[in-house]
Amino acid sequence: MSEYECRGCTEYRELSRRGFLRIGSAALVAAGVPAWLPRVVFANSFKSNRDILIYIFLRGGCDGLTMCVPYADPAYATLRSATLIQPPGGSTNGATDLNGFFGLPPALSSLLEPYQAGKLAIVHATGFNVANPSRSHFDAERFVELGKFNDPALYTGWLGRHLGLVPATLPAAPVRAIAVANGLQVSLQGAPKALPVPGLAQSNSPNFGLTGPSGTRPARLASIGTMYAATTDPLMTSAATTQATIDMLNMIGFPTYSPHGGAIYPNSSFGYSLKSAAALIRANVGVEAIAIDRGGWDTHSAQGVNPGGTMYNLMADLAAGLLAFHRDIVSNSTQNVVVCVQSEFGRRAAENGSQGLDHGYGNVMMLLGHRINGGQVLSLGTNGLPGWPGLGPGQLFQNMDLKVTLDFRDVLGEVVQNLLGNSDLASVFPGYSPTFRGITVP
Amino acid sequence: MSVLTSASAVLSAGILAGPQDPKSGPLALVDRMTMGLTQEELGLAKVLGNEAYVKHHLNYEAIDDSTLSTILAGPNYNTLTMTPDQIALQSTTTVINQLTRATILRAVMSKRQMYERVVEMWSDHFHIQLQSDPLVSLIKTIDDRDVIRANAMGTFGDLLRASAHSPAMLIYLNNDTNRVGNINENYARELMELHSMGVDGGYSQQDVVEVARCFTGWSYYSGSSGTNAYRFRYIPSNHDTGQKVVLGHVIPARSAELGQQDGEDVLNILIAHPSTARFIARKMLHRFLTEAPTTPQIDAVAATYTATGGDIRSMLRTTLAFVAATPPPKKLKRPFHLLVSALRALGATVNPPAGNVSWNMQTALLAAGHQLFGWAPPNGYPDTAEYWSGLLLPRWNFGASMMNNEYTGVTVDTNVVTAGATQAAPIADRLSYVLTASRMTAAEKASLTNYMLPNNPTATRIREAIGLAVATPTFQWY
Repeated sequence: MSEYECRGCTEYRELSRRGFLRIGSAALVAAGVPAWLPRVVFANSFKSNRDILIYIFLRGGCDGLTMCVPYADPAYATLRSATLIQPPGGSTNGATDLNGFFGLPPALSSLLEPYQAGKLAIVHATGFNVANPSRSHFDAERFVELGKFNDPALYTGWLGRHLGLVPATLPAAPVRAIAVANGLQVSLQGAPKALPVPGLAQSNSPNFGLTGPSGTRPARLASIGTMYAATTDPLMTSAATTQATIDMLNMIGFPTYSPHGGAIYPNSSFGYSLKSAAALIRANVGVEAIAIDRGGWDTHSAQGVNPGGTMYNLMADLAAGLLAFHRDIVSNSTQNVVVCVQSEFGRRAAENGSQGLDHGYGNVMMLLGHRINGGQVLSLGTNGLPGWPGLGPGQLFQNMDLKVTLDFRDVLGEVVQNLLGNSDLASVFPGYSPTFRGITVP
Repeated sequence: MSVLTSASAVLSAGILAGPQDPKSGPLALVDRMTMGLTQEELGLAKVLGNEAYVKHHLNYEAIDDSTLSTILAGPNYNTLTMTPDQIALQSTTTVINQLTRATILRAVMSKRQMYERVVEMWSDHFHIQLQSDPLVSLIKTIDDRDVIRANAMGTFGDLLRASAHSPAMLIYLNNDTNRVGNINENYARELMELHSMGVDGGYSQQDVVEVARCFTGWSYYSGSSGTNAYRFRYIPSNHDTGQKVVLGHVIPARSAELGQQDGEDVLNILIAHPSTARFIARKMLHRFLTEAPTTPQIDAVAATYTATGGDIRSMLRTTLAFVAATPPPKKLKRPFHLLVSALRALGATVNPPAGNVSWNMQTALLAAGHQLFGWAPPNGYPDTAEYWSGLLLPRWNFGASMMNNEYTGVTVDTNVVTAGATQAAPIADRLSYVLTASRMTAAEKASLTNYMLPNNPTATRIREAIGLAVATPTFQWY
């Protein structure tokens, strides 16, 4: 099979690296693009041992006690009323049991498939294990993404630092990290060749071109390229990455991408984002990290865990997207990938007066991937041994919130070292020494 | 001594660089006080001088804005003047369109440019996401008019109080369901973190709880309340009558009937708090001077806050004095600012479609990440180069689309822009003059010139060059 043919599929015209080089170079030459533009010369063969990371941030503080219900903790049912998830068995709206203690709420029940396949792991009672955590969305998000708590001198994100420390898996890749957002997330600040591409979330057929008459488009892009080559950062680098990425993205057949394994991505911005990520992974263009934001989890009122409710819909969208990605990529691709899902903090243990939950502390993370030690809910008791900090009287943080007994940097640190091939954890998570918890497959 | 030495070194360098730093004085003020320079505005600043120009704009009520107000008084903008009970009966799409299009027209056309800039700052500060809730979509217009625009140049205290009594805000941050025995902390937290003291202002989680208790019962009248519908309502039966302690102040137990005073007390405490003075000072300096104001600058504006009882005009005067004195560091235009500044500099006419018809120029703002009032969390759109410098393609598309006549109702007369120039280099010079007061770099002008070569470029080529000029690096900053 030649490189120009589609590999393993007839419906999807995979971007051929050599084809891209050829067409891309022709376009570059024709446009008279200046010498500073990164030359896209992809290696003839490429198979990295490093995972591609999909980093999904649930903004607003998702309610981890709903997303992975500790139904067997006797205090749980006393704290919740309208937002209560029934235990497995009895009710049609009951949880799907995971391990005899935790269960998935109905909206996430489809995640049982990757869980049972050993590819999905859930970490509970996690977050920043610090004495005085922040209940501000904006501080808490920033600190998580920086990878360090409350350090005003730190501006680069943990993922940005990681990417800056490792060589590109594909040296000629036009873009190494993509933010499916309007601006780079804090986690990606400092990353080399990182670019926001919000269009990936906006439809099944994203458009990345310059508007205006198509006949003069290359010449106009070249003119802009020349102007930005002579300016200063941050715009100079951003423009160079933009120009190279436009060419690359326009050559990927996003609209005709047909997922494998019977996967069906939801028709939502989250679904489009994951489907675009899958297309990028299969196109093999050297993208190493994709950061996706999913907002709306700040459920102070009418949290709605039953069908039609706010959080039910959010969770159903999340589950549909993750399930599709599991079937499409994790189960049907040889490229190693890891998906990390987290939020800035959990929500209050007890329901408020609006059938919602105020800002809390301990929360869940989800990890999905080829080399994730899945099929487990990983959580620690207050003694540091496997267990559960508890929701009962005297067990809550400040008498309000689920405790954090497992720092999220233990999880991300293990992912960074074992899956992303970077052992310089002191630089990725300054001031913290992650303890590996067995979340990855050795 | 070393400070003086380095200061004079900087001064000398400035003097050596040229006879007059082009970023100081009137031009810097026009950059910071308007949604984009025009030759008319620049001329006014030069004629009046720095102090009188600032005074002119702060005294905004005296500026004739009849051309714009006539348009906004027309049938296409009839929801702007409605009462809450009236607006609740309108089409949501129409109400949203009227508010966002009026905001665009005001930014482009208003002679009260500084007022519009200040309104924009407070709209971000007291941000309410337009699409967060079906009712909020309708009554955000009321908040925009009666909270933000009515108090933008008044005192910060009046502004904060108006916002706290605004049903759109109370719904957005869930205070409408904050009730005794089962509080909702959302508004209480953001009131301190985002609206007044700042996250490092010195309050605790217990303060958040106590403030939430104080605001129990602050809600709005239901839709079946006649002309009171969707106006502020204090509901005594939802109020927590116990004693509270907020930031060390004891708020005494009060009867349910008198309990609204608890929230009023909290507002007074916050308005008088030194953290609020500093937080608002920093915010204002960030918006009008630099992303990184110095401690002395914050001290100066905070001192004005304290000395004047939070008088916004006085604080702006202190802030703008810094702008006029020293060339401020450049700031990256946010996408809305970029688009509006292009429309203004090029003298575009803008006639938005009416009613519930969609508008592709609004879609372009959405693609650029700056849908008006569309930011989801309550902290408002960022105002940093770090955030906005990544997404360049939609910014380049503004000029490309505008000059390809892709935006419905938007026209640019190229003859006015070029002013008789027909050759490539003079047109490039003219574009630099019109868009940036002749601050484009030689490389940028060379690129524009090259694009129009050979000489005597066609009308189409000129239009495309104007689109490219809007995409120049220099035009991205102000």
